[in-house]
Amino acid sequence: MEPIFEQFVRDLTGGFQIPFWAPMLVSLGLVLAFIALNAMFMIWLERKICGRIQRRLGPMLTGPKAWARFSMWTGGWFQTPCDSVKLLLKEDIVPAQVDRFGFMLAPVLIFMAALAVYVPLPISSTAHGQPSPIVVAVADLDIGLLYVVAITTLTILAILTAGWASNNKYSLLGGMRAGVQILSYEIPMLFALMGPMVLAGSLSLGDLVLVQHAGLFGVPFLGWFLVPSFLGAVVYLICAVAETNRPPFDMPEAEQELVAGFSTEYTAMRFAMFYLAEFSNTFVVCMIFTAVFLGGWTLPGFVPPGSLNLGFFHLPYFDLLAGMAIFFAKAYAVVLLLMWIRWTFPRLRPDHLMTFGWKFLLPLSFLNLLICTVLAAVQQIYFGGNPG
Amino acid sequence: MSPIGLNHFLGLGAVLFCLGAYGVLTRRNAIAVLMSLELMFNAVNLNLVAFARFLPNLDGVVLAVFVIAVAAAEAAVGVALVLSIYRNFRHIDLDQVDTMKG
Amino acid sequence: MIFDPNPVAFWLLAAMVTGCALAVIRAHKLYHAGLALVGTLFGVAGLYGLLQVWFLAGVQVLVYVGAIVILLLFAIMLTHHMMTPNLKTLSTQPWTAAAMCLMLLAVLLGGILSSTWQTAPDTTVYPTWTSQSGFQVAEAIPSVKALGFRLLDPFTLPFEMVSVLILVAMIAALAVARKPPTPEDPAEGCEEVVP
Repeated sequence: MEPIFEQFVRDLTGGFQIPFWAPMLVSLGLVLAFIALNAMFMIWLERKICGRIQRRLGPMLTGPKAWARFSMWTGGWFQTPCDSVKLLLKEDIVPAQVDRFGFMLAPVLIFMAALAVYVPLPISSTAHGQPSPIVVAVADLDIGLLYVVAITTLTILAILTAGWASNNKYSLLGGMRAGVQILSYEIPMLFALMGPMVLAGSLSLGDLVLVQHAGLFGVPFLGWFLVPSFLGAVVYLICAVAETNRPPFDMPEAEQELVAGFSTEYTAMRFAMFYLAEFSNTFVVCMIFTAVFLGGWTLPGFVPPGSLNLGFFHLPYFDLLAGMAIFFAKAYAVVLLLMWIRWTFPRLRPDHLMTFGWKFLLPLSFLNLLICTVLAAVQQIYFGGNPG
Repeated sequence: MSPIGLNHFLGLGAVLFCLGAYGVLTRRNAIAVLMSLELMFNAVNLNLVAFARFLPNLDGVVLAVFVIAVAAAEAAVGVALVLSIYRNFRHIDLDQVDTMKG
Repeated sequence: MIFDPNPVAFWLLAAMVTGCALAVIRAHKLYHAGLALVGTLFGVAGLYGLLQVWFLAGVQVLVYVGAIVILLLFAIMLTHHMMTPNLKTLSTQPWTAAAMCLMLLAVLLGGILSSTWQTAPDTTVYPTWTSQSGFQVAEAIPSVKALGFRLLDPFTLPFEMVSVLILVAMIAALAVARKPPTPEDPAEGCEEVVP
C-alpha cells in the first residue's frame, strides 16, 4: 500500500512527501468504508438470492414499485438501508444482570478481529509480470496466512465472551456451540491451507498469488492451486462456511432452539457490529479463497499493460485497476457460491457437525497436504525450486 | 528516552515470571493456577526470544516454539485433570482436594 | 544498523503485559482473569513483533489465544455457575507468598543486572550456516524460512519428539476427561438417551 500510495500522491501533487501515518489512516478509512458498504451490498444480494431460491416476496418487492416493475434484480433494494437506519436509531439496551465489562467488550472484539484481518489481503499489484511487482494490500505481511488464521481465533473469543457475559442460558449455549464449532473447523482449515503454503514455499498471500501466476511444473494453466490442491479447496470452503456460522452450519443461532444464540441479548449498534462482522468475515473468507486457490488478481496468461491509451484519455494504473476488477469478480463468484449453499441445504445437527469435521474433513485435509507435498517435491527436483 | 536493550526484556520477563509464581502460590482455583502457569511460560519465552534477537542466535526462537508446543500439551492435560477433579468433588478448589480416594 | 526497538512501543507493551498479568492473578471473576490473560498474551505477541520475530507472534496468538485460552474458558464455563464471583480468591498466606515472590524477583533482577551478556553490537546478520542439504542460510531478521531450516536441520529429533508429546498429551487428555462408562448411562451417541 505505502509505496503505491506515496507514488500516487506525488504524481497528483507534484512531489509532496506524505507523513508516515497517512497511509495507515487512509487504509483504515478505506477498510472501514469497505466493510460497511460491502456488508450492505451483500445483505441485499443475500436477500435477492434467498428470494429467488426460496420464492420470498419481500426482498423482491420492498420499496418504490417502479424499481420492482423494472426488473427482478432492481426491486427490494429499499430493505437494507431501512434496516441500517433502524439499527442505528434503536435504543442501546444493556440488561441489568449482565456482566457489563464482557458484554461491552464482545462486540468491539469481534469487530476488531473483522477489521484487522484485512491487513494482509492482496487485491492487486502494479508492475504486473515484472520481477518484483508491488502488491496492493494494507501491508503484505511475511506471515500473511498465519496472521489471518490467528486473528480469526479472536472471533471465537468474542463469541464466547458474548455468550458468557449475557448471563442467559440460550446465549451461553449458543456461544459454546459456536466456540466448539469454530475451534474444530479451524484445524482442517489450517491443514487445507497448508497445501498451498507448501506448494508456494511462502506464507505471504502476495507471494502465493505470484507463484500461482508463474504456474506449476512450468505450465501456467496448472498454476491455480485449485488444481493441485483441489481437496484442500473443497475442505477450505466447507470450513469457511462453518467458521462464519452460516447455514448449514448455523447451530449457534438456531432460532428454533436457542432464540438468537450468543446475540440474543444484544440490540441496536452492538447487534449491528456482530451482524456487520459476520458479513465482513464471509467476504474475507471468499477473498482468502480467491487469493489462495483462484490465483488472486491474475488470469493465466494475461498480463495487463501498465497504462491504457484510450486515444482521448490516457488511463494510468491500468494494471492495478484490472487486477482489482479480476480479484473482486472472483471473490464475488465465491460469495454467490456460498449464498447458493446457504439457501439450499438444511441445518446439520451439532454432533453430526463434529463427526463430519473430525472424522471426514480432517483426514481429507491430511491427504491433501500429502498430495501437495509430493507435487512440491516433484517441482523441486525436476523443475528447480519453488516457483516463488 | 533511553534505548531499549536486552536487560529491559529480561527484566520484564522476570517481573512476569514472579507475577505468575505469585498467582500459582496464592490462587485456590485450579483453572486460575493454570492461567498463572501460562504467565510463567510466557515470561520464559520472552527471555528466550530476547536472547535470540540480541545475542544473536536463532536457537532461542526454536526453543520458544518448543515451549509453546509443550504449553499447549500441558494446558490440554491440565484442563482434562480439572474436569476430572470437578466430576469427583463438584468443585475445583485445590485446597480441599486433599483426599487420595477418587 | 544497530537493532534498536522503539522505546515508546516497548514501555506501552510492558505496561499492558504487567497490568493484564496483575488482573490475571487478582480478578474476582474467573472469566475476567481469562480475558486479562488474553491481554497479556497479546502484549507478549506485540513484544515478539517488536523483536521482529513475527512468526512467533503469529504462533503465540494462534496457539495461546486460539487454543489454550479458549480451552481454559471452556473449562470455566463447564465448572462454574455463570456469574458467581470466585470469592475464595486467595490462600491463607498471601503475604508469605508475596514476600517469596519479591525475593525471587530481587534475585532475578540482581542476576540480570550483574551479568554482562555477549550481545553483538551489530545484529544485521545471523551467523551463516550451511545445512546438510546444502542451503546457505543467512538472514538479517529471524525469518520464517531461516526458522524452518533451523527446525529441520539440527533440531529434527526434538521436533519429532514434540509431535509425539502432543499426540500423547491429546490421548491422555481424552482418557482423563472422558466420563467413565456406567451401565445405566451408555456413553455412545445421544440416540439412546431417554428423558
